[in-house]
Amino acid sequence: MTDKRMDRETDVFDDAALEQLFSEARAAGGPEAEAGFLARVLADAEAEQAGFARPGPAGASDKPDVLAGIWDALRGAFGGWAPMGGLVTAALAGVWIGFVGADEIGALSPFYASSTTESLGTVNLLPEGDTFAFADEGGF
Amino acid sequence: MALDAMNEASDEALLELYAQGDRAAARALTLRFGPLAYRLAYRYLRDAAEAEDVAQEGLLRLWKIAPEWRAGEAKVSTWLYRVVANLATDRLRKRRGVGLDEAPEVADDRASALDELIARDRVAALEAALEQLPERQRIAVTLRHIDGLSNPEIAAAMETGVEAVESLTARGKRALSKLLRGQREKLGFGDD
Repeated sequence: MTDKRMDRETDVFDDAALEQLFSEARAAGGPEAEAGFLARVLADAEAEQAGFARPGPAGASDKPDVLAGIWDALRGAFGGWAPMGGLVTAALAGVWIGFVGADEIGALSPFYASSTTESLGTVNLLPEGDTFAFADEGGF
Repeated sequence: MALDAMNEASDEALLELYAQGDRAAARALTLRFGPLAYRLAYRYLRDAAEAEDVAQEGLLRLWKIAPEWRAGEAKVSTWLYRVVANLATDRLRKRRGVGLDEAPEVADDRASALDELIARDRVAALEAALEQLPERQRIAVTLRHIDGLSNPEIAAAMETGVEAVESLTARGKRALSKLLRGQREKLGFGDD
């Protein structure tokens, strides 16, 4: 008896009636997204997409040219290509002197030291006997 | 790709095109998922501005993950439902300071509030009754019976099992019947 009454109570709004309400709610439409919202979403999508299109740092062709960077830095430090040319010449001359030895330089000394009678191989920039005097003056 | 073809393309195919830089795919995805994400967020939050914020954030996460998306591992829609649902749930918790599961069960005397509804306004009556359900029941019933999502889709969004969704919707419908008891005639259904 009690069960029968409960059944009557719960069946007052049965599944069919409930489904009818659901159907009308579907027909009425749910909350609609506004155009402004969709425009913001699309702007986000395009902004992110622009990031995908940009070449990533891992690409081989995008590796920075280390040598070019060094040359640019040196050129800037020495004030342009002309001073750099002199620097390179001096460096090459040093390498060459180190390779052939100082004794062989004498053969070339007349070309660039014509005013002296000594060859560059025998030039003594610190005369013997003055070494200790130089040290006393705080040279070392 | 032509617009018609975009409309017929699968979610995964569109997302792949989007990741490759196809701008038409971006538009198609926005039109396909923007309204869905918004509607889902709104079902949770019941506030248009908050729903827009949450839906936009969820979609932004989709845009960001697109290049790494692995086809076949998950459905785009399911993934998005879950992300938006999680964001909305977090927002609700901050708003209320309690978890959804801690929400109080429906009280019998709340049914009297339905008496204030305008007669024959069935959808409004349904909305009012839904509003009085426990949060998870309301969301499950709404997504299933009004938005037309499948039980697996709802389960994914709510991070629960399909059986739990079936239980939530069944309990929700019973509670709705109870809340709407006595409104049948007023809502124009008449006596059977």
